[in-house]
Amino acid sequence: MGKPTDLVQGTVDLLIMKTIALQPLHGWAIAQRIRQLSNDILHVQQGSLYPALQRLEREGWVTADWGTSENNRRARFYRLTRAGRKHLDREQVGWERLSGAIARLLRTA
Amino acid sequence: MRSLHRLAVALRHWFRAADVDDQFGDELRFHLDRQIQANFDAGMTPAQARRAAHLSLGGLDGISEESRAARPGALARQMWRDVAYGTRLLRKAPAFAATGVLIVALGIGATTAIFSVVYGVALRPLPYVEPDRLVSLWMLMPTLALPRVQVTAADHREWQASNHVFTEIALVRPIANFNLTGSGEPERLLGVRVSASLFRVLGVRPAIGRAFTDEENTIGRDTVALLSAGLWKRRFGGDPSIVGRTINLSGVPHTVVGVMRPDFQYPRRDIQIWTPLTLDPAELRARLGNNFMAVARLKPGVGLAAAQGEIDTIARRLDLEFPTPNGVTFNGVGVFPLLEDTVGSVRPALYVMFGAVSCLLLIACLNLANLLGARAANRGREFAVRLALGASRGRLALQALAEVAPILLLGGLLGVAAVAGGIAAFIPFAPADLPRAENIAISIPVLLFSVGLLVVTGIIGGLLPAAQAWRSNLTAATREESRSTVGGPGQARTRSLLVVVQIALVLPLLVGAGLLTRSFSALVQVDPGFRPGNVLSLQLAIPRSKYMRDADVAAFCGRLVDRVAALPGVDSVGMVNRLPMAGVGQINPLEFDSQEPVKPTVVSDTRTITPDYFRAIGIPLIEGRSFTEHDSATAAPVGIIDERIARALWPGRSAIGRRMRFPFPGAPWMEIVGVVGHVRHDGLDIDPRPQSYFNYLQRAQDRMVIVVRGSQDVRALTPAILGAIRDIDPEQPVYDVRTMEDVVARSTAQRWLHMTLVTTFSVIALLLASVGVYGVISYGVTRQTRELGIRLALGAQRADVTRMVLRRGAMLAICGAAIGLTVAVLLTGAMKTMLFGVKPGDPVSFTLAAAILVAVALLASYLPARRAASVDPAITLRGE
Repeated sequence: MGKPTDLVQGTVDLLIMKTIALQPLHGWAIAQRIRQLSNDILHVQQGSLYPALQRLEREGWVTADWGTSENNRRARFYRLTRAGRKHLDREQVGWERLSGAIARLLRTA
Repeated sequence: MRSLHRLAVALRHWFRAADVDDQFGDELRFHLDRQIQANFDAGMTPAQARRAAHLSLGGLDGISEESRAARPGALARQMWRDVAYGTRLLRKAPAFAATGVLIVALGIGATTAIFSVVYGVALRPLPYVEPDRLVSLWMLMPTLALPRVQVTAADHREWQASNHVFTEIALVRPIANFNLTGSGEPERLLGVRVSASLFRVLGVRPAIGRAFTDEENTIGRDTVALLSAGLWKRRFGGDPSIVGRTINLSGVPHTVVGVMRPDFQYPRRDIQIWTPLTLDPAELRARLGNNFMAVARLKPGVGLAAAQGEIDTIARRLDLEFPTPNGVTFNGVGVFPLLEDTVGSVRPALYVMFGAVSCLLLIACLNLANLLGARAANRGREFAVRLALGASRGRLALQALAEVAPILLLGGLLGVAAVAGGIAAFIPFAPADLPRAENIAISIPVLLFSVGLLVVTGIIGGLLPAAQAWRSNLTAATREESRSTVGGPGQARTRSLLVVVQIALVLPLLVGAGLLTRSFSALVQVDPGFRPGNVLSLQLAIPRSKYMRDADVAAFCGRLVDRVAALPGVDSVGMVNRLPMAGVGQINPLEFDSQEPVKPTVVSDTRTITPDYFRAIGIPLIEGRSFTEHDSATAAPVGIIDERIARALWPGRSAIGRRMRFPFPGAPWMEIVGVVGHVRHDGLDIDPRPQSYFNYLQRAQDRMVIVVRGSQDVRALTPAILGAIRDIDPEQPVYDVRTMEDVVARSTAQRWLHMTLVTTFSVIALLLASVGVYGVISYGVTRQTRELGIRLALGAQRADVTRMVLRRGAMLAICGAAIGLTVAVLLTGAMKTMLFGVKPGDPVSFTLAAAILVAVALLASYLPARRAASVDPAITLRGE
């Protein structure tokens, strides 16, 4: 796996964590929320969503519990752990610096 | 914290993998249902909603698989599954599994065994504080075939006073044995006398009580003793109140001041008691008596070379100040690491053994590779297909390794367990001259070494065939498969190569075994100079506290000899102060009378004997007479020399009537009354010195050995002899009761062990290699069945076919042997010190080894050759 994949992976991780930072969500809702909040621009495919969630869980940044969904079904709700919140803050700062830099570059160039 | 968390998650996933999978299925199904619902809400028909949802999800299994890979402990779980799969495969092929396990067990077991000896004896640090800084000092005297000679107390005093490299130099008198009497059987204790500084130099303290003080190293204050842990437990029941108690050592009461720890075994493991060293002022003045061992601790930062340099300087000054006594030439003083001191003599042999067993292990690895290779070839299609379907090569390699794991683990376990049992059985039979034998054990470093070996074995044995399999591509593999069920020409070449290497490794082992066997058979044919058959030896230490004057000692010996000689079944009885080949000596210079200005001086083994000793041990009298009871303390002093001295000094003339004396002031001339046969005193393999003999009435010695020649089985006489000694003095302990044959055998035990070990290794290696040859040839025959069928159908003779197959076996053997001979020439040079009577390049051993190897290879090829010749052309052609 080369570098570009890592970047995409990191981005998905960041989006997921940001999404569940406000309230615990199940997988489907996370995908929906990302889509809504990005005005239908960002689509997280299920094929990347669940491996990403497993990875985040392994790192100890998110944790999951079974709960009841909005349509009264058993669903797994993900929420940020304390470590995850810290990690999100760090990542967010990093991301903003990076995107800011790219934006500046694009404007001046 | 983080890593703890990861571990917890991984453990949860590990133990509840099925659970987790279930839950994950539920989660994905929920996702799918929710998407269908959403699609339906957006206005699709139920069928459309379902289809769209499935499409967007892109297959549940794919996601499951990928998510599983992202889950904690995924790699370990995968390995575990592969191991389980490997185990199942093995259960289906028990013969294959058993062969593999046996090969691994042999290789790992043999190597672990030898390494446990190498580590325990040669590598393990000494159990003292900072053992690297400990050194021993020896006089060097190569002219006497005595590379290292003990030091004198006078020299020690000078070194101690004027050196700047050692914190301190301790002095040890290594022979100070006592008879322990009172409370129970009289007992012979092996002891040493030590300076109080020894405990500071080594950095050890007693387990209970205290060490000696410097004041206790003075005459009159030296009646204190330290006990070994073994003696304390055995004789005194481990009584902690032993400190302060008085025990009777050779008739002198001593106060026990402490007990040493069980691992304190300086200078040898059999030492039971330590007492303070006191020095005889006369001996110090005369600068005589090379009776001491010196052990010192280097000051921090001082190296061995610096210490040697300083000691050299002091020794040169002493040489000028005090010229060495007549006839004794020292060639300086050597500073050696203390560990070297203990194990230096056995180290080369240990390393040769280790080299031999490494060859064996490598052969075992290659054999395993061959075995697994054959199986991998059978599964070539599976691997090729999986590669084509997108399995990564790393994944396949990992699987190959994991599948070998059960064989490795089982074999390794079996091998190490066998060694653990074997060591316990071996230690009591370890050659008496193998130092630190009690250290031989499956210790942590040895275990780590074995695990390392297993990994290497796994990599060589498991990955080699896997590499072979994954080099293949789909098209080639399937094409080959369609022709026959076994691998292609590339694999055949690899396997032949493996076999050639195995043969090349067997040859040095065979040559080594040949050299050692020829050495041993040359050794046991050496005439020791006496007749050891049906002779018993018993050691005595006559206590000077009881028999104070020389005359008392002599009278005791005389009574003893008379009493034992009167026993029925005894042919002759003699006594001697040092038994041949028993490991202890006494060496002195002798000056011979002559007309020349400088009188000839000979350094010889000086022996005090009773008159019948020569008859009892079987040394022939060549000229003159033996001693008699008339050669008493008041009669004219007499002596006997061996034929080597006689021939050297008076070639072709009689030595009888000539005179000799010890080259010390005031020593009387002794008349030579007899010449006897020469004896190999130090062992069958070396013969450094001649012997001279003196009568016990004229030169009494308190450490004596009774030698009894029986007219019937001498071992059966032991109780009677012991009873006779007890009748004369019930407090006199007797120790080391052994037949002379046993004494001689012990002196060759180490060589016997080397020979047996290397021969065993080479036989195992030969077996393994012949299995390899058999495998390759038989594989070739299977591959060529069709070709052979066609040849036979076209009129080839069956003998031609047999010859063709045999030729292939011979080619492998000859290629391997050629390489092996070159390797052997390079390796056997290292065995030089282990050989006797043969040279490392001995043509007989080399030719024999090569011949055996080729013969066995031909034998191994014969079975497949016969099968090839019995091919029925009709059946093979139809079969294809």
